[in-house]
Amino acid sequence: MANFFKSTAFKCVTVLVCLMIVLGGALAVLNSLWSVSPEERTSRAIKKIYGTEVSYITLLDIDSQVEGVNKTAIEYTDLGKINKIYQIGDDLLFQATGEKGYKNGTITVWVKVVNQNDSYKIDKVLLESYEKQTLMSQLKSSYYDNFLVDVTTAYENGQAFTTEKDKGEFSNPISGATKSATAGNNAVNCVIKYLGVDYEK
Amino acid sequence: MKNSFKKVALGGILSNNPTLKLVLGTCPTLALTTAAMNGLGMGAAVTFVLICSNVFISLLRKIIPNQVRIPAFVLIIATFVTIVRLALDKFLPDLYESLGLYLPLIVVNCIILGRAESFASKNGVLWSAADGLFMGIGFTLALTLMGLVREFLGYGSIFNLQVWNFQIGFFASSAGAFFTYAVFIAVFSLISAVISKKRKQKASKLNTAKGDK
Repeated sequence: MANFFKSTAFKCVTVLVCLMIVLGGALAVLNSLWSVSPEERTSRAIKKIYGTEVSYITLLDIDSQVEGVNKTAIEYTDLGKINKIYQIGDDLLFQATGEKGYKNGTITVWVKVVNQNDSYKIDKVLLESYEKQTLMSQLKSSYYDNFLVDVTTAYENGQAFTTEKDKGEFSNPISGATKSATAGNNAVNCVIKYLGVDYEK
Repeated sequence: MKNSFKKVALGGILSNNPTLKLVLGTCPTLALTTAAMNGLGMGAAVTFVLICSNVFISLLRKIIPNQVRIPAFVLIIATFVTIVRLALDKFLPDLYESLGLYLPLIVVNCIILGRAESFASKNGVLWSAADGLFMGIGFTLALTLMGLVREFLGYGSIFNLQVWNFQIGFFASSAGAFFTYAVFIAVFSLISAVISKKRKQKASKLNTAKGDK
């Protein structure tokens, strides 16, 4: 037994374990000091979309710590869910997570919807994060940007983004061996469905 | 082998430049030199990790057993890379986004593990820090210069400031990255060969003069 504690194997294990504890502890402290809050991420997304900081009214925010704010995500079967809705002037800003991507992964996007003469149109889509997808740098928001179809009527007209080809403006055919735009499309379609069915002006 | 400050400094930047001479860390070199700012940011991140990991490994070089030195080195390097990621995400989110996947890939960058294995584990703390600093400067200079060329020719801008409207799409592409890298290596090798030849000529003249005396 005494020989074991003097052996090289014991020394190796001890050094590695000590390193893990010390370095892990340091990382835990720094992570709590430098963590980015959900509010900060929202501010960054708004600044990126609008080019400057703007004031907004929170209609829905699943990460909000403020009392009285709706924290329940709006879920749509086979599409995904809407996590956040902010009102900025007459515009609306959504954060939606689309499902059924590659390897059942998800894509989360910010969708800016502008109010034009009481109808709503998709102005900009910004990629926030993704899981189990690859090559997401190819998921360009330009596929969805300036989508000047009235999304308040698109849903009832059966119009939604798809990866199928030959579907006109709604066709977003990014697909490949390890990537798919399906989840991204579904995220945007969540917004289209919400504005067409559940949104009360 | 005795170290000298000049040897360590010039080695990291010129004679042992990790990108142009040793051809290490080619993945971020090719992927992130589409813009000079990206090259500069990646270079700064790698320099920080190099200095910190070299210092830490040098401090622990007599404690870490030889049998587990590689896992220990990777553990230390991964920790400092995580620190860089946390800091960039908090304070420089735009740079964090533009570096993307290549930031966590710094862990497996050959330059850092190579210097830890060949220098930091065998030398004192100050020399290891200096080696990390100058290797990082050499890497940063190479990436920034490549980024400048590719950004200027590919997008017509320098450090995101539009200079002219003429753009050669080839230099913004992956093929352009390889081509630019090849040209840089060739030019660097040529300059190194010329300097080496002149040094030899100078040394032989001195020897001849001494022989005559």
